[in-house]
Amino acid sequence: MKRKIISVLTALAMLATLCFAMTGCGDNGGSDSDKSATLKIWIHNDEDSWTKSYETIAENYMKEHENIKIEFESFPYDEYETKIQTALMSDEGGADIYELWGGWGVDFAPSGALAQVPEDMEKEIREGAYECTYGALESDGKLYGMPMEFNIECGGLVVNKNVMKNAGIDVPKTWDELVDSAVKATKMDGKEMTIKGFDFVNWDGVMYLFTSMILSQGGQYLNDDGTFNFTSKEAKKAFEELVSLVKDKKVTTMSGLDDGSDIEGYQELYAGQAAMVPRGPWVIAEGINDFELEYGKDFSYEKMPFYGDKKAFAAETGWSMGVSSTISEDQQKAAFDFLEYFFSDDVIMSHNLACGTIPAKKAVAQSDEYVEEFPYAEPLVGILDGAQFIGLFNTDVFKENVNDVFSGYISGKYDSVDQALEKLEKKCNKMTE
Amino acid sequence: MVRSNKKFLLLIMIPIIAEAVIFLIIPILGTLGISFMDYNPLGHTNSFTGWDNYRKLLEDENFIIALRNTLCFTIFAVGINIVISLTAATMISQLRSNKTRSFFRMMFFMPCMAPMVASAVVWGRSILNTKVGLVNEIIRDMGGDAIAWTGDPSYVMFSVIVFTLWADLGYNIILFSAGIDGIPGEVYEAAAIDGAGPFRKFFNVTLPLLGRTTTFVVLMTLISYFQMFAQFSVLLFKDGPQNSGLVLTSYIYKIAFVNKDMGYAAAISVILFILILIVSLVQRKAGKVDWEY
Repeated sequence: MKRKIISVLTALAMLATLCFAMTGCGDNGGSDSDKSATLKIWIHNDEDSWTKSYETIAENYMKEHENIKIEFESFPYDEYETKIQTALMSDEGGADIYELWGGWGVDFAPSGALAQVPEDMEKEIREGAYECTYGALESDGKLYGMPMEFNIECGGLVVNKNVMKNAGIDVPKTWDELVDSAVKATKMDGKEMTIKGFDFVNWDGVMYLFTSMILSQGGQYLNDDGTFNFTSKEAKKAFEELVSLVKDKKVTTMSGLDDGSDIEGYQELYAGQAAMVPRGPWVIAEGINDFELEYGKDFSYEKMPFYGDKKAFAAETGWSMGVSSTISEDQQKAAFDFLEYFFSDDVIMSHNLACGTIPAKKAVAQSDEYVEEFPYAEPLVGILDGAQFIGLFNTDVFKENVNDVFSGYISGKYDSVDQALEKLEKKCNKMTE
Repeated sequence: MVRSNKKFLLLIMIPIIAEAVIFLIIPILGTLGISFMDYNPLGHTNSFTGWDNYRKLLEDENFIIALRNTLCFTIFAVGINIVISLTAATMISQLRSNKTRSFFRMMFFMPCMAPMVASAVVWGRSILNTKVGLVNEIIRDMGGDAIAWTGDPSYVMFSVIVFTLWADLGYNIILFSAGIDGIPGEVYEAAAIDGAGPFRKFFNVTLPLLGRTTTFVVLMTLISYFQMFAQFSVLLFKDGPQNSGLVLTSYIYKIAFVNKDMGYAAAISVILFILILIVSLVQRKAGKVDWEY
């Protein structure tokens, strides 16, 4: 009898141990009864300043929340999307929080792979951030991520001051002045262009400039039903102007789309091979750090004149943060608590300043403190209200369509601008079918 | 005794059969299944769409371009590869000194040791680069104009083929060399007694007796070139101007991971699979030999 009792007690003890062990193992991060948790965050690691900023924010958060441990895993950008996609496809592994490029949100948000942002935080984002910064993170009226930046590629102009000085020209204030300056700054050596006056031809540039030119004339590239419209008079005028800059005025070449050399227009500008390049402020740090140029003396970041009367442009959702939907409720709660901390004015501003990005939050972007600390943003903060969310579609495919048709027209693939634009409209509408 | 041998053979084959089932047969069947679906791996509802993805192929101009580019690349690159590697292997085998033979084989094989991606980066940035590439520097020094080797649609495929041959010739030279070394010396002596010169020896002795090696080399090179991906994705910017460097493998990747249309990507993969299967079967049939030495 005594032996039987001992056996039963031993079995119960083993069962209890097993249950305890299983609970611990299944928690994907280690939250337990005292709500301690380990949050794993995946980030891309192409920019040291970004990684350092994340680590600093996490350290500060951990000081305030001793029961939370935050670990980072980083990947090169080129393989990051595939990595996230694979992780989200499987219910195990991966991270608790993902740093996401907004463009991916269009696919990730409706998939159920990301957790819905809690109500109070959603309200804060919708009221406090520019619409385009979270547009791609929405699905069925719900929000699945927190924006960290305003991704702006149009409205700012990187200018090589030495090239401009040698050509005897000033920073242009109007579109016509911009074209004139570009023509004057362009230099040829035989058939080779040694200095590009205005290099807008790159994977992002053509699409952003084209859509901005349509919007600034008061036109639209999207119909109310979400289909594309590139056959409007505004679209035709904009397309003809872009073509003319390459074919007639010859202020740039198609190498930004055709050549596999991996050298971007703004890098050529830093190397003294371009006068003006429309790009986001994120390129400034490279000019100072990698090319060792002096801001203000060798180059500057200026307001780019709009083509039409309106200061309007399209912007896609930039870098954001999302929480995995497959982790436990406690883990999700901890993850969103960290994101809420991240989204507070001071913290997100410190991140935007460290990364050289434009804030997604209106209050931060319009604060004197931010512009004082990051004067390069000055040309942009005044036009942020003119931004329109680019639309709920795959922006990589959209850019590819615009670039394909533009490059095809330049190389003589289409007989007329109308034919090219009809093709573009058809291709884009097929994309959203 | 025979029965126990069979059991033993079956037993030791279990791991390789399991590997083939798990890593080959199941993925192939899975791909086939997915090709009949509107499949987004992140989505919870992946509907059956029948032949829709295959019908879409016929209307997709990019698929036609990718198919044409793949066939063009494979036919030219494999053809040139076989001619050059066979010629080089024959010439190397004529050398009397073992050390010299080994030296040349090693020289040709060296590029094969570097990862294709790394070699493609070096070629893209330092050799074929329009502005600062070695080739254009030489052309400029000779008074010519720079050529956009990876930026002009007329040169894109040529550039990729040249790079591929540089990176890949060594393997086939080694295989052909092994085949040539295996041909008995007496056959050449008999040919010499009959008055055959070097060319007749090559066409009437070496080439016919290399039949099996040639079949193997052509088949393996064909399969490998149909699946080439690294140089197209590294050497060219977004599949080259006007998709001049778009091949089936890069199109599959783009459709699956950029457009996130796994069902359609699976349908293209099935077409590529069938294409390779047909070419392999035809090649095996054509290269069949019924002799030994």
